[in-house]
Amino acid sequence: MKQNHKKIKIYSEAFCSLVTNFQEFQTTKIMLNDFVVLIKKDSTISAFLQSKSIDKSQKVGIFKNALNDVVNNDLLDIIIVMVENDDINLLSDINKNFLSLAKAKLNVAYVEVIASFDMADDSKNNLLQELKTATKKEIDLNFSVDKSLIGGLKIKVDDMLFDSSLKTKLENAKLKLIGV
Amino acid sequence: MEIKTNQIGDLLRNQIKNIDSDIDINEVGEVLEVGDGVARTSGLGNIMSSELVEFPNGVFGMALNLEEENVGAVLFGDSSLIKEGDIAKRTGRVAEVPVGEKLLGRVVNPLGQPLDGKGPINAKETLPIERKALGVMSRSPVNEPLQTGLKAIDSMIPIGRGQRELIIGDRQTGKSAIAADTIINQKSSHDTDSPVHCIYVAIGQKASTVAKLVGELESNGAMDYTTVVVANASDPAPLQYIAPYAGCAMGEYYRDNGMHALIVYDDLSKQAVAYRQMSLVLRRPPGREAFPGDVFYLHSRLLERASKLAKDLNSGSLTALPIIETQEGDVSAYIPTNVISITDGQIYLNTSLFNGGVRPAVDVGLSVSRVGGNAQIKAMKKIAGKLRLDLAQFRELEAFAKFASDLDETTALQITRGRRMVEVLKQNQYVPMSVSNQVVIIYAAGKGYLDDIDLDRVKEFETGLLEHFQTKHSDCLDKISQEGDISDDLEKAMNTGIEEFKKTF
Repeated sequence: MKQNHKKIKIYSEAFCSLVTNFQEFQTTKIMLNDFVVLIKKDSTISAFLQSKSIDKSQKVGIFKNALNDVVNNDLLDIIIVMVENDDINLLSDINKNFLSLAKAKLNVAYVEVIASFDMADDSKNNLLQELKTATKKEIDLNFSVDKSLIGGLKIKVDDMLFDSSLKTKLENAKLKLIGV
Repeated sequence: MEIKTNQIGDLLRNQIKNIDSDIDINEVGEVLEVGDGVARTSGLGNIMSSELVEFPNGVFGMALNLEEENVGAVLFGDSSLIKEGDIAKRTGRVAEVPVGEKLLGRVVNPLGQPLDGKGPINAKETLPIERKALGVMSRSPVNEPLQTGLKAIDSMIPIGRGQRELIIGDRQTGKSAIAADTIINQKSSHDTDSPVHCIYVAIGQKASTVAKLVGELESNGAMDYTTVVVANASDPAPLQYIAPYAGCAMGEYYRDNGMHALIVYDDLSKQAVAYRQMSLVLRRPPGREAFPGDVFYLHSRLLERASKLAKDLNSGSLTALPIIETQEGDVSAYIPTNVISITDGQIYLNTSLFNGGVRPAVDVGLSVSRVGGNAQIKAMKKIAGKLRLDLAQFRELEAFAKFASDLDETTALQITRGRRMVEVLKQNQYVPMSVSNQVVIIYAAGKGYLDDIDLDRVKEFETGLLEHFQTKHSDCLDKISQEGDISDDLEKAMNTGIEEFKKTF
């Protein structure tokens, strides 16, 4: 457990050293997210990675051949080291740690906006600008729709939740009425 | 009156403008894992220790483990209502309970929510469940008696207001009965200017047992000045863990407002077990008997809150009667030794005495009150001073007498008197006795007036004697309770009264 913690730290710091600006951060983040999803959800890839009968050098060769032209060389090198050391199963935790390290390094705020409807692009841009001004940070913005909110928005900026949704207001009113 | 459509529109628009547009702002985290009554959450970087955390579906928890990567919170509700990825909100406040006189006569859970179906509790004040015990300068020595109404205790192991007296013994030896009798006996204090309010904290008990006790308290008119805090055996371990602290906060309200309170923790062994469960699930390192390292502090910080306040703080008091259940009479187990060392004495209940019909089954040799002697009234001190020693000698002689057929006169007398004294100290449950009555009967037994009474008629003699005093010598009883001492004149009057009755018996 402690050993894994150490490895997660080393790999995430390595990924973090690759990003020097917000654009690179976004690219690396998307790439790592895709990898995490592939390893978790794609049974062929996960079986291939977990297989004991396939040689490590064979695994590395397949990774190199498949990704050489699509993935940044430095990033691929780190992933290959992970495959060689059988650490690819730690990628999900490494990704989480990388995000928090990179956000601190590049002064990025992770913002999740949940609305009861699909917002227009203009509104999204306006919101992005407002958030940039308010937080004085680069914004890693993620939108999602949750119709159960009825109206209003939920905006989560890192650990702070700004909730103006009608659902929460109704719930608060209900609690007040029953005297909790 | 006619209203046009555009007017309605204007009215509605105005109202909509005035809608409360407050935004709910909270620091939040995400539930990483949940199980066994504990939720681990990421985020919540600024959370305080013991702060309440709000989870979905109205479940609350308390943050206990503040680690680098996550926060471990114990849940006060059903953990199956929370799932991975749910949001955990900071509340910014530590766990607190309603306090005050509105809680009297109520049965509540450790969060102060009513369980008795008598409607909401409209208490104006709340207090945090975890409070620091008072310092040395705020306290005064224990000097005021708290009458339990039990002859064996009030005479030999007296309890003072602000004292912490442990009740310890195996299962089914009458521990809760002593606590219940003490609560019932406080009814008489409500006719005086220093009434004692009571709090009974039931931890990890069967709901039926608690219901029976509440019924007894109600039928004896004791619920009027009592609050019952219940964390049943079926409640989550965190609720059982906080129950004594919640009850203590309720008791501190009376103490801090110059009043007197008595709190019974029934029992702390089960609280320690609940705490052990929580600690193991929170992955805290186990120590002796798998209890965590801070199990001593668990009880010491609770019992230190019982105190008698100094005069300039209005002399209020909080007396604590913690209960500990032993296994096969083993007082040297971890939790019993801890609590024995924290408290100001213990009432040890013995299984063999209980089975031998001595009830309350107080083992005089192992029981002690370290500070209560200063709080005992002079009259009781005078007559019961030698009682403990005499009883100890009697037990020793009785053991020897089993081997010898002919005994010298003095030894035979000691055994005769000892047997009668043991008989006098027996008492039925839910029948507490006033201190003046106790003084009369113990005085009579100590002076040898019962030596020639048959053992099986001692109870009858006691009842008759007390009736005789109440009808013909009530002035004696009044003097004992008012002056608290036995003057030479009073002693003569008591002798006369006893002799008078004996002639008719």
